[in-house]
Amino acid sequence: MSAKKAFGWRKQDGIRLAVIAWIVTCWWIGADRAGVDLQPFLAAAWPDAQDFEKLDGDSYRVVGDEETVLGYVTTGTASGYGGPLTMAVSMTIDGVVESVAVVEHRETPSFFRTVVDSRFLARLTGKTNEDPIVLGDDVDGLSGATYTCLGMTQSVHRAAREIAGEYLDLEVPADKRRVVFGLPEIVLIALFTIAVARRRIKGKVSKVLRWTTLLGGLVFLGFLFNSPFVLAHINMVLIGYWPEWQTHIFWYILIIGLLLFKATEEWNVYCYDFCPFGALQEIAATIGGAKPKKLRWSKVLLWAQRLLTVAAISLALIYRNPGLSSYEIFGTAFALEGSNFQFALLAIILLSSLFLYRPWCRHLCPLHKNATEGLFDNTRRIARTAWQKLRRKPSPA
Amino acid sequence: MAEAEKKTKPGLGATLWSLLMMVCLLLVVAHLVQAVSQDTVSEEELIKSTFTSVQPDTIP
Repeated sequence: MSAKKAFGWRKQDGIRLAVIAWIVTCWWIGADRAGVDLQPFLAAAWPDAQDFEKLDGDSYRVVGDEETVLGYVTTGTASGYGGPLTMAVSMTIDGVVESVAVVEHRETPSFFRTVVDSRFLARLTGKTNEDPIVLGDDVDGLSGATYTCLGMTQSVHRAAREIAGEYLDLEVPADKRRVVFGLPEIVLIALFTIAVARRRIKGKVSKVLRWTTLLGGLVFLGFLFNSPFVLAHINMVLIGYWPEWQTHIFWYILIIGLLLFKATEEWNVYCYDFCPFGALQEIAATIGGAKPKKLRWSKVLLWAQRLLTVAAISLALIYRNPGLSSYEIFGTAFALEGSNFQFALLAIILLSSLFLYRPWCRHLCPLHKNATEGLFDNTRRIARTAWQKLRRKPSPA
Repeated sequence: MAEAEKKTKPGLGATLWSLLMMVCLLLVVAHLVQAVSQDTVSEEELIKSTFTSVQPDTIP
């Protein structure tokens, strides 16, 4: 049996296969990236130190004049928004966190800059071994950058506990594994439920429910929580970063929910029913009376959208940074964060949405059916066809 | 036949919208280039730019 018949092979499947092979190659290139060098942090944190004695892992004992121990340095890692975030922490012998610095992160550059510029890290210094160092407890977060703040706080928490408990033999408060389950998670489950129910209803009620989820997505996932589905989520799965479930239940509901519906019902519940940026474009379309229009050079635009998506995923895999190439303008729209290019893009897209139906989704979004979703659909189709053919294959007599 | 073909051909509006979408694509490319160049800051620069201490005079 030819491969064409066995796998239900289509004309463009060769290109799809090449794209998958390229993504795998980028994954391997990125896997070779180097580890952490703490020397710049040690020099900045303890300028008067005579020596830094290497202990286990990334830990150091800081030695001063006459062999006196000045303190300890180690690193702590936790999940941020785009992947693992590693902080270096120095602690004096009386258990005070004296200095901190980020040594590695995978956050979206503009969001990361905002957190650093807001002097959030100063809220983590001066803590002692007796402090819980927990976001929302003794550390105040920043709205719109919750996961980055959470990653930084947890990293410092872990490093501080390691030094205090293991090297200084100081008492540390019992580690409470706090499960973060609140309004964002409840809203997300509600949106999924209403969207599923809507699909089984027809007529006017279905339309009303769709607008309910769209507006709900816009207000909650967009403006209030700034947690839309982005390419960085897919990049995280591809790279293999699975954040702690206790603090990232929202992430798991979103990813598992989407994959589940896509795989079982062949339906993208998110884009059509509660994507906040989709809602923003639909509101503009309703105001301006926009309709889907056939554009000139539509094939060029389609392939440019695909190429851009592959380039963005490749960069994320090579740099081992899921948020790096997440070029969506969702954060720009809902949290006013982003590069100048993204602000220009947002202005053009919002104005165009008055006349063109969902221009971002149809021509630029990396998550659209034209790009990632289409690749997922076709890969699944090939795998399913091959599996069905294999199952039907009669056993040799 | 020729008239029918002419009717289905995209007009000036469609050409202008396409050009605008291409401008958007270029803006995305420019943003990606900027994001990658920001990410390539060395570990040393990252540590220096985020170093925070209880003693302000130790900030490098």
